Amino acid sequence: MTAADGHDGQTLAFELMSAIRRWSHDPGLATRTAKLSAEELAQREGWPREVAAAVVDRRLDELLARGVHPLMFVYLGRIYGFAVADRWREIERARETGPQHGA
Amino acid sequence: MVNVVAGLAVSHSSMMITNPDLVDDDQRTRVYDAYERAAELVTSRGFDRVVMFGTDHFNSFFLDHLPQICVGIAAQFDGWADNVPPMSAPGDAALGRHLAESLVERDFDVALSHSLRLDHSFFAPLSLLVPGLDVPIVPIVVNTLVEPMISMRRAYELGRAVGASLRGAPGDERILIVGSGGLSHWIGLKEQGTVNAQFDRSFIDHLCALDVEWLTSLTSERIEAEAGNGGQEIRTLVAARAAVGEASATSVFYEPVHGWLAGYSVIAMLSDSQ
Repeated sequence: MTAADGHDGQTLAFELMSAIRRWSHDPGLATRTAKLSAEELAQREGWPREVAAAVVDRRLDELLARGVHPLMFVYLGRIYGFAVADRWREIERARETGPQHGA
Repeated sequence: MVNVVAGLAVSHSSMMITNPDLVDDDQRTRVYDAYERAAELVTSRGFDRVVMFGTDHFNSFFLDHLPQICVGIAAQFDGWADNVPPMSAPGDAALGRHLAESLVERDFDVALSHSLRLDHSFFAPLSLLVPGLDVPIVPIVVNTLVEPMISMRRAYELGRAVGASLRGAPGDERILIVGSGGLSHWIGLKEQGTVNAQFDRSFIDHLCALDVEWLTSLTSERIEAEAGNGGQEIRTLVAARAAVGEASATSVFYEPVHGWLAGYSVIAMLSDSQ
């Protein structure tokens, strides 16, 4: 993330966490959000596409690296319907088997 | 004279209310029984107010406004968030106001809230310890989620200041102090579900013994490494222990409860004074 994108890392992490919290406190919004593609989410929230993709693809590792507080993954799991521990295991497995398999 | 008659230091999770079935029947029964035994112990002391140190999980406080310490001053506190059923408890606004004023006089620059909603940190244990939710409370929310956090030394001093403030308060209330937090757990991280029973047991021993040197030597970094990001909540337990003071403390229960993602502890502190 660069200043040219209009975000510094800390600001973006705050925006991400604020959005996840907002969605999680509004069940209707959470349901609608979970149906969005990365492109649609990026457009709606004004985020770079790769950031929206990290959310949609449930890339907890990428979100953590971007400064998102891990408690937010519990919230994200409720919105996207996944168990945090299971998702971490998937990500770890994908890392072990190589990037071509994705996460 | 206000009297601090007893204290409890207990673990919490929303799942102990919302997802009891994540833990097998035997262990779940042991956990609930421990809370019940603790409730009986402190009820025998005849408390009529609860002053409670707890945490928040980005529900009532967030990065837009994040106090290190916040005292709730209200006639009623509502519970919310994390799928916990709606609950509420009466508040003692006058005692909350007294605590806030006294803490500021003692150099604790606490935040105030007249419309504080409380999440499962308060209502999960409270609903087990005071099933009728009919005893007025004063909640004290401590930031244990986002760095920087108050040091363990500061948490201990906060508890001492709360204890001294209560004992100096006008009135004849009988106070139960509760600390709600910990023990070891990792939330949202790949270690989620891990419990460090060795750390937990050591912490319980030192807390019961009121080993101030050991307790206050714990740094955020060490807690994070040995007890996880959720383990930072032990600040509330140390504050509660310090508020009760020289009372004898007994570990009523400890087990790693992997289904609810944490080490579960119930510690009872019974003051000598009646």
